[in-house]
Amino acid sequence: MSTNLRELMERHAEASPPPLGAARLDQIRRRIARHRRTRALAGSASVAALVVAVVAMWAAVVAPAPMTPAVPKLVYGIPEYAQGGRVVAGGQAVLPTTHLDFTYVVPTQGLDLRSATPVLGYSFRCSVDMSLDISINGKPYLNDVTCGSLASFKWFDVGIMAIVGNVVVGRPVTFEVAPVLWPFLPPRASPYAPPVTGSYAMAISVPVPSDQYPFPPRPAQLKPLVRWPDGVARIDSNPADPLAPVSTTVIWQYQDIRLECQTPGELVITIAGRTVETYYSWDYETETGLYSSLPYDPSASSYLAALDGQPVTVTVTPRQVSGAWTAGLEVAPPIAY
Amino acid sequence: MPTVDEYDQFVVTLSPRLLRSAYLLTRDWAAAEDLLQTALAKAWFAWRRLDEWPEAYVRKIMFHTYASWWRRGSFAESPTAGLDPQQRATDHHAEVDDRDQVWRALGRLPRRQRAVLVLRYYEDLSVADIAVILDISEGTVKSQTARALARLRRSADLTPGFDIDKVMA
Repeated sequence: MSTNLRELMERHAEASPPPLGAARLDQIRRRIARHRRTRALAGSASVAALVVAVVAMWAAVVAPAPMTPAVPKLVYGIPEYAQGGRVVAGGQAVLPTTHLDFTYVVPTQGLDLRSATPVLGYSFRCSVDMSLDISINGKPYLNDVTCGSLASFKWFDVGIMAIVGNVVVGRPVTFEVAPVLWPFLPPRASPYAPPVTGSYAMAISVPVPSDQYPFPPRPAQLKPLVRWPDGVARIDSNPADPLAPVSTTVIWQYQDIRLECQTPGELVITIAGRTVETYYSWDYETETGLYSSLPYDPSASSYLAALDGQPVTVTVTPRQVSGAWTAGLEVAPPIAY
Repeated sequence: MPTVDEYDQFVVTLSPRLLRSAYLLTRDWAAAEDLLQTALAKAWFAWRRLDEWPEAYVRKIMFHTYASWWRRGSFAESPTAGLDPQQRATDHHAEVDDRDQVWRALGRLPRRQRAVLVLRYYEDLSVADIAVILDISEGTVKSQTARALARLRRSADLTPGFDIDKVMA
């Protein structure tokens, strides 16, 4: 059995993969840079263990929050705004229609497919649980996407998207959505069979600057911030003015900077005079974002490596925030992923 | 301690092999590429702290990332089909290759079971090595392997009367 199973796997695995070749290394470099930003956007679950107690909430409102829509507007049944993105294209279909397609022209200005920052996002929403296949410009991109009644949101890996789907700025990109059908199985004959009724939708989003983004309504009580363990160098917001930049001087030995913010807004991190990252928060959750100060960029890496053992000033400059924030500097953690 | 240059060399040299393993897990080249790059990017952040040849480390990240995608249920890379709808429709009416039926059934396995089979039969790793990579006991590796093979035999992806043992024997 093992021999034939091995042959079966080898037969499929040895088929020619997409000719990514040397482009893979560039893709990974961009992904490493984007990883920090994505982690900052989405928060880091790994830091949850650090949340051991509640810290008294700090300052009250200092700066008014931008627009606060009472009821999120839906486009194609999907929230128009999510995770810093705004829906710009999409479609919705009802079973038994088994094909949905729509086009979106990637702007020639403002969106750089080579950028390490998110430039295109996507969301799904289905009235009943089902799986969807997604193609870009006729090329399969995602298979068996789990879709349910709660809209999901993710940023595209535009590098892979561009290569797989031959996406070019200024030209229409055709997105095709198809419920996963298994024609050799009658409906509901197995848990893998698709539903026979229901609707499904997909939307494309582009980033919105935080000063133009309609943050959600401010809750009556803001969530508490993390309490850093002993030994963590920290930078905390000014209780009297959360919008004031705060600096601290440390002997540089750090690899990670973790941030939390009670409110939406931006936290710009500057190390020894060089701006290295901006952390974005789009809601009132206080998940801890992560910025690792070990950049792939050789010049930045050398820059930070040269700081080892020297006193440096680390500054956090907040923008649009209306509550407390905190940053913790940590030495290299044990190997983890 | 591996250097930055070694990281680049590692990516160029080892990626094709790792990509094929990723494909066996995801059954979709785009998703496999995504999985591989995700693992390699994660490895980068620990690269300077590695004190051994990092292939095993990257493989471990890749298999765990694959499992975490499943647990989160948030990302799209849960490909179990690998065939486009037109191909599926063709399969319905045309003669279906026995091996393709097994391939499809393989794609329907739970992720950990599929990972165990890929590590065992494609990567050709020992039970002990698989246990280390997946952070499970050797007994669990054995039981997961047995369950995976048993599940293949009774998979709904096989047409009625299909004798999987005839193909797999």
